[in-house]
Amino acid sequence: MEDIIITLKLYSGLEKELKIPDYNVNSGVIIKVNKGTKLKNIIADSGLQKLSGYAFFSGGERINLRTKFMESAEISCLKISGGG
Amino acid sequence: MQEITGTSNRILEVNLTKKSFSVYEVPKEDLKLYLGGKGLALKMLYDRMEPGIDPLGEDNMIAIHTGVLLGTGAPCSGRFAAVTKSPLTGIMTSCSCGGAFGMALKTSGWDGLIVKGKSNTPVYLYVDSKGVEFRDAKKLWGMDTQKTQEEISKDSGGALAIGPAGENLVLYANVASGHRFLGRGGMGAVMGSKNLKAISAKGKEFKILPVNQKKFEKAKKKATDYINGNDISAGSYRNFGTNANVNLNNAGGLLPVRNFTGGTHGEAHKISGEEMAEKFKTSYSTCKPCTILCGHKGNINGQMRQIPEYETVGLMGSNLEIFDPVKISDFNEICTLMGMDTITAGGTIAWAMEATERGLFKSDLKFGSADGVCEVLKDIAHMKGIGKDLAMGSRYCSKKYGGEDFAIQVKGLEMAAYDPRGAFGQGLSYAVANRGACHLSATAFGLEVYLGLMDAYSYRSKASMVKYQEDIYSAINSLQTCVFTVFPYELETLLMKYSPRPVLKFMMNLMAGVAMRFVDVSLWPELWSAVIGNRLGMTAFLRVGARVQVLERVMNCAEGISRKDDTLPDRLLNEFRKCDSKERAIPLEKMLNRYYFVRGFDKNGIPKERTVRRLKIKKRMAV
Ligand code: SF4
Repeated sequence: MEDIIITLKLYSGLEKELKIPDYNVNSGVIIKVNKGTKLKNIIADSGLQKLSGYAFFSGGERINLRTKFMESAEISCLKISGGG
Repeated sequence: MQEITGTSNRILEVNLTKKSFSVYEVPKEDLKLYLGGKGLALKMLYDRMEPGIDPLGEDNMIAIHTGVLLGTGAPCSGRFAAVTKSPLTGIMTSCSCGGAFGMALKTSGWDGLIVKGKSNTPVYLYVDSKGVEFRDAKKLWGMDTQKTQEEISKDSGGALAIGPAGENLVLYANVASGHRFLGRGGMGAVMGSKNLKAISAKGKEFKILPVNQKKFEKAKKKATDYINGNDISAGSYRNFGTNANVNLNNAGGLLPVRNFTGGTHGEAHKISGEEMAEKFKTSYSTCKPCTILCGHKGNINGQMRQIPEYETVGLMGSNLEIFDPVKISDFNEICTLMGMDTITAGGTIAWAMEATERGLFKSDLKFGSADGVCEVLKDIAHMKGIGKDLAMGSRYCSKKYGGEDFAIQVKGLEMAAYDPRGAFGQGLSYAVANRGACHLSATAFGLEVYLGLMDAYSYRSKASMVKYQEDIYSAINSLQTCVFTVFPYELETLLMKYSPRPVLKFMMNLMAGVAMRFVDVSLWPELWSAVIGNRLGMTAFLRVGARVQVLERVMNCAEGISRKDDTLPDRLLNEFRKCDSKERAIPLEKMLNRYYFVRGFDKNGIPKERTVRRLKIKKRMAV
């Protein structure tokens, strides 16, 4: 099965909750997964729990846990907020 | 200390021309129909002000109402409302504000204030339980907003003050209450035009008690639990303030970049709430009382300063392509001291940068460079050099110099920091918002992008959703309490918390109008009922919101507003962004037709007579 590269960018202090030392917001966390992997599985592998409290985006758009990745991509993961 | 149970219902009506005052008792029926805050303030002006008056003339008035919750200790109730006719837009503007003034006015025994006329010399008002003193303000003239408040603080519990921008009639001058503001539409210029430098209130003369203490405590506990249990109020807002939106908007394609030409930027994280919390070692600096705690201060280059709000960071940061939080804080500080709205200032400077780049306007301003921005802001406040033009806002400047297609404003009010090409419902919300391109009329982007409960790029159901949000926000602003309570008070209810997400999404996308009827909004009317002692149900509460919303529209239509004004800047309707995966155009006309239908407006956007009758909006009373 072909591999793709997912760059997971964490915000809202999630990198601290995941205890990732020396987290660099420019490079994020690089994860190698099989082509066609769902977001749900990528996130579970990264150690995040309580998925409903987070918002996930890729390519400037919101994606859901069933989104499948067919090519390398960058995913942003954040806690939701209100307006300003 | 004397006690007021429920509400005093007393309004001070001040005439600056005659240096006199009288007391207006709010009719019981008006209290029931408009609740307080924005609703009653608007109704008081509706009955007193003729359409067509000059916003900077003697006939314009300012109405302030504190609402029934302020002073009771209800969560996030440290807010009051003010309404006037805006010199920037020529239509009504209403603002909600924190700071100590509201509490001081209310505990001086007054629910509100109406200011009319014009003083022939600079004055400030001192309010206590006996009434008003007109005090000489010649020595205060020229002082900044914070120094003015300090100067008059000896015998006052809180004050409203304008800075040089208000005195010089900058069309987007604001009014400070502590470090919070009556921000949008130029209320500071209206005060300046009346030679009114400040209003201070003694406060602490009365204690405000709810009629039904037991019911109130129960509702207050539920409200506190909801706030403390909610991820948005007790998480993002409390930890990072409104700047938690920077990274979220950047990821979701909503961030204004380079005068709304882009929706994302690789350096956005440098000006995010997370970054500022760490860099400036932030602590709380909030309205009082407040349970959510979104306001923060921090140590910025050795000075303790209020952290700029998200709108400031969006409009004076990413939208100018400036990603240095210290520089943005400098801009914020100048606007705070001079008394100017940061959204309109940022939007107008972005227009000036682009107009300069295109050779339409002469200035040294450049995207990506903070050089000269502080100086231009000071020139705007003092109406000097190019500041004289920029003080009139982007609509005026673009009419004079060209570039109307990239003046990012609606009805003359510059757009807040959410690009609607990333959330179509937000496009409708900006187009129809009563005071112009305002983000606090309806926060469609929240449902479309943050919560992901609606398809951001579809027009379906958006009209019903925007109508619902406008109604609930107008009702909340009439209680009055902070609109940020909307997240915990709605999302922590059983139905919202435990309904499967796909079901919620399905309902919202297909029939938002029906879905919204099931949202439990009972907490706000419960609080109001406990304080006043009259029952107010959920339906009646939402109907108040609709009434306030339509009343404001009726007043604006009398000023000439109609369908032609419910639109978006050309750039947002016709230009595509590189950050989007596809070229998509906001389907504004489709959404607008549907919105007029659900609102009960005719095809030209004018409220139908039967809509006005159904909402019990009476003819102008001429008080
Ligand atoms: S949440 Fe923020 S805006 Fe609302 S009352 Fe508290 S400090 Fe003020």
